[in-house]
Amino acid sequence: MESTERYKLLALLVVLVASIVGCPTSLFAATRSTTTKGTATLLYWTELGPLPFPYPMEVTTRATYTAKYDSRTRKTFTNVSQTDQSVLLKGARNSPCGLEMAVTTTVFENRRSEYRTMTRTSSGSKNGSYLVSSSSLITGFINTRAFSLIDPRLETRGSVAGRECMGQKTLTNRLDLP
Amino acid sequence: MRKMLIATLVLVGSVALAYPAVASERVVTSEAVSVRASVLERTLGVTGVVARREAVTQLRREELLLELAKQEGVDFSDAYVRDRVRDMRTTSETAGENAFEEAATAWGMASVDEFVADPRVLSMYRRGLLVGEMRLRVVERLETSPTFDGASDESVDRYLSVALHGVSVRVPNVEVRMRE
Repeated sequence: MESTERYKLLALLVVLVASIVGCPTSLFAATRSTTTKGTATLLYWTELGPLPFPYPMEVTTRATYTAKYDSRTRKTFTNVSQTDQSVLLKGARNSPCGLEMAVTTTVFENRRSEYRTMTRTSSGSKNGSYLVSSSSLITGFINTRAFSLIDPRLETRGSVAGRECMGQKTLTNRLDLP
Repeated sequence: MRKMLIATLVLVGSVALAYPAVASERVVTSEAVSVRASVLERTLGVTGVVARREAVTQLRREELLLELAKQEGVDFSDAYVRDRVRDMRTTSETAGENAFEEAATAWGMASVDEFVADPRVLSMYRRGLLVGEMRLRVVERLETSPTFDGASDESVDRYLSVALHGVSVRVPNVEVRMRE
């Protein structure tokens, strides 16, 4: 009986190993984000001279996705279910510049190959910026359309400019998935 | 007779001193229009009459926002303005930018320390911060309005027109004084 049990255990182990090794795909889900920081300096011109209004700026991209590796084709298929992109301007509550902030995300496929494919772009936030703290303004949008790609790269560009001021700033953010 | 003469002189003197302060609240000077028009030429690519017209519109709006601030008793203390300017200077220097050095040079000052301590500079910063604060307050009020149709400049102008003058037809004309 002891040897039978031992054989059963061995058989179970073989089945387990076979199911892991022989399985062509593996699946995992995750959320990843990246933030690029910089400074947006806008010049408010008065009749006496210019006044600099510099603000710390951040562009953030966050993606929720599942990745599935196919061992036979040796490719990872990434299904992005949600992207969240924003541009944040700190301390800009009472800026005289009539701020306009915009954020756009471009999704590229096959980032490891020489020629990447631009698959789609999203641009957003028609309602302008809003306060997220006592002094910081944010604009952004959430895209919940799901899409599946191989080796995607999310490239987010956040820009700030002022209608009444000179100068503008654009920060670019790259998020490689998975 | 001498007393009457002194009293008259005091009265005339006080009116003369007070007049520029009162008048400047609602005057858009030709220098300001020229400066703003040149900024718009570089930022928006508009030129000539179009740039000047847009400059006047922007400056009128700023004057009306300042008038609203006065009406509602909104103001920033000297300490607040100094702190904000100091914070912005720190932000600029941390980023390795020389915006404040360039501004000091443009104002004809020898150093940034002199620039950030100059009362004229602080006065202009206060004006700019007040304009920004009031614009944001107006936009926030517009956003809670049931007839909100986007926080455009036109919406802000309509709000200011009603809030300050009780008319919603158009932006009231602010005196444009050519100071040649």
